[in-house]
Amino acid sequence: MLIIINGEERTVSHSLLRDILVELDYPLSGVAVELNGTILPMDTYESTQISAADRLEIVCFVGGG
Amino acid sequence: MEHNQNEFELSIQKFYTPEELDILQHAVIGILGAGGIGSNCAISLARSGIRHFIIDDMDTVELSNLNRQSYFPQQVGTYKVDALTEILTHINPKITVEKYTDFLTKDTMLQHFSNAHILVEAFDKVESKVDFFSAISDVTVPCIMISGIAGIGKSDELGVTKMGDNLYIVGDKHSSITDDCPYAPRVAIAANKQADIVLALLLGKDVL
Repeated sequence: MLIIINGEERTVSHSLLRDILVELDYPLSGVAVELNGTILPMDTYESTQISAADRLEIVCFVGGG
Repeated sequence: MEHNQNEFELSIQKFYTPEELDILQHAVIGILGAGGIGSNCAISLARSGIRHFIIDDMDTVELSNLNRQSYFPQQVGTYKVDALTEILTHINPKITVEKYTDFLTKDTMLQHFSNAHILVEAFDKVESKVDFFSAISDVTVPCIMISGIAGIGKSDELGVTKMGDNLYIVGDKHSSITDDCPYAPRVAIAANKQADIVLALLLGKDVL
């Protein structure tokens, strides 16, 4: 299905957020995800279903500060 | 309106309306981490007129910090929160810093920061950033995080991403200190982007 990730259209084969993150090579920990304007708690990635045309913003946390 | 202003505060009056200066002087900014990001961000905010800070950092200044953190060789060995307070009050003697040297976990993250109007996340470690992100899920004040400031070059990649209603993340989101060293320019650029977001939010200007 077609979804929008960080402003770009992407086709993904999974619908569970956790599986989409794996499919797109994001780490499962240390990632912030916004779904259609709402930030998701980190412990919901395993249970959140993504639908076609959903807008995801995904940001990895990396060290340095 | 404040009447007991010092020379520094008189000198910045021309940059703001009286109402704007009043807002800046009554804001409380929480800064979690006083390394390269926290020290540079706090100094820019002090120069901009902010008077009240809450700052937590468990570390002392080390010589190896000085390539990017706003400390001086004679401050090596002192707590960063003490060294930073010294610098901030040199800029403006009116500045007050509520300072802590606790190691913050997800559960204790916000214990000192309930009075802050804006939170600036300036931790070094990913684990602390994740703990901060988890801890702010119910927080309504603006939170400004850092992710990706290591290396040299491509400084235009240091961007600002807004998530949800009140979270801003500054950085290029990929340049980790596990892959490259942190250097003064990119660290200071990102820290000052955080400071600029703080000012924009306080003064009702466009952040993005």
